[in-house]
Amino acid sequence: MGCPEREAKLLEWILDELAPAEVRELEQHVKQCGDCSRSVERLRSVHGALMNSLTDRDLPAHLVFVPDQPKQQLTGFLTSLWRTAALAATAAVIFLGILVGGAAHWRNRLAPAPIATAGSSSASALSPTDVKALAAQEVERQMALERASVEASNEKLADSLRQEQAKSLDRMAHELDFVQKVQNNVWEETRKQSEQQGEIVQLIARNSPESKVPASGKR
Amino acid sequence: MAPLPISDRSDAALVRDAVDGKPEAFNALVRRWERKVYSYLVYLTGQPEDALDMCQEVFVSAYQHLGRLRDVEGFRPWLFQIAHNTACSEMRRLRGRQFDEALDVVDETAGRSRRSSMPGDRTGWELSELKLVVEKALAALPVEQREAVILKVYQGFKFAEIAEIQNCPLSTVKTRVYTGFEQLRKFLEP
Repeated sequence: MGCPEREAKLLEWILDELAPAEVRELEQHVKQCGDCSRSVERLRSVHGALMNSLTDRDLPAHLVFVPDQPKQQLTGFLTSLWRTAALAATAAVIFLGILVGGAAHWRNRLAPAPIATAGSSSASALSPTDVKALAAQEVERQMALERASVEASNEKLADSLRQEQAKSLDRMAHELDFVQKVQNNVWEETRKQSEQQGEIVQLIARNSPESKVPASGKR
Repeated sequence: MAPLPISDRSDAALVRDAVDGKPEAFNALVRRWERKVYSYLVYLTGQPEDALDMCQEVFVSAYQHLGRLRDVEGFRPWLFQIAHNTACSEMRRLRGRQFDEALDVVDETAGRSRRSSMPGDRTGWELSELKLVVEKALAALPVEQREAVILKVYQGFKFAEIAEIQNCPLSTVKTRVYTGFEQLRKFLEP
């Protein structure tokens, strides 16, 4: 292989297109051949310049991707048209329903109230005095109810207080009883201790030397 | 096990979902590849404004023909094949107008580019200048060579995949890439 042909191989080597066996062979050759060594340097310089210069370019804007194919676009358009028409029809029906319902409602609200007939109601026949009397009766009735309610409430409260008072008295009686028992116990203990002390004093007195001296020996 | 987020799923899985009628899967593919396709079209045609429209056309066409993709693992080369066809149609339509203008700009900057265009320790401004010079040098290549170089170096396709995209023999791809490199070297070397 002559060197011009080998230069093409050197480029393939730099561009990572050779099998490992060919790479080893070329490496051996380049070590011994000055021309090929210089060729490698030149090719690497060009390769380096390209690698440094050919970098990713920024897009002015991301791509706007249209996923549908033309046939699907037509189908999609017809589908969306049908869907829009259906929605519009539904909205129209709902609107009409609201309109009719609203009209019926306001017609009922705005219509005049039916006039009472002579025998249909006694309220319209009452005189002002009667009305006042009825009102006074009603007020009296309400006040009586209120009084009864207050009295019942007071009675309940009094019962509750009485119960509480009785419970308190019971508690106090129990406590007093307990205190008396304790006091009795204390007195009993004290008494026993006094008796024991008296016995001890007597015992000491009996056993003291003075008590053994004969009467004649007294000065 | 919980399913992977859509952005983490493989191209093949997204293609299958998109074919099954899930548009969000195809949208994920668009988001994943739109920059690469757009950049390829910009570098190939030199026309950013037209490239955006072409990019849109590429993805619409891809969606319409997704059901015909037999090998879902080969989505990326297939997508760039569509991009290649779209760009070729557009360039035929616009031939004689915009691309001649692009080459005129290359001629104007050619003298400056020959000062030094090889990479090394460069400042940001020098890298920007290098980028500009390389783009102009690429624009000076015949479109087939330019495309082969872009697909190889920028997009990282194998020669065999480029042959499918460009619809030509493997040996032709190798020749285009090698000749393109030689031309670029002559253009870029001081």
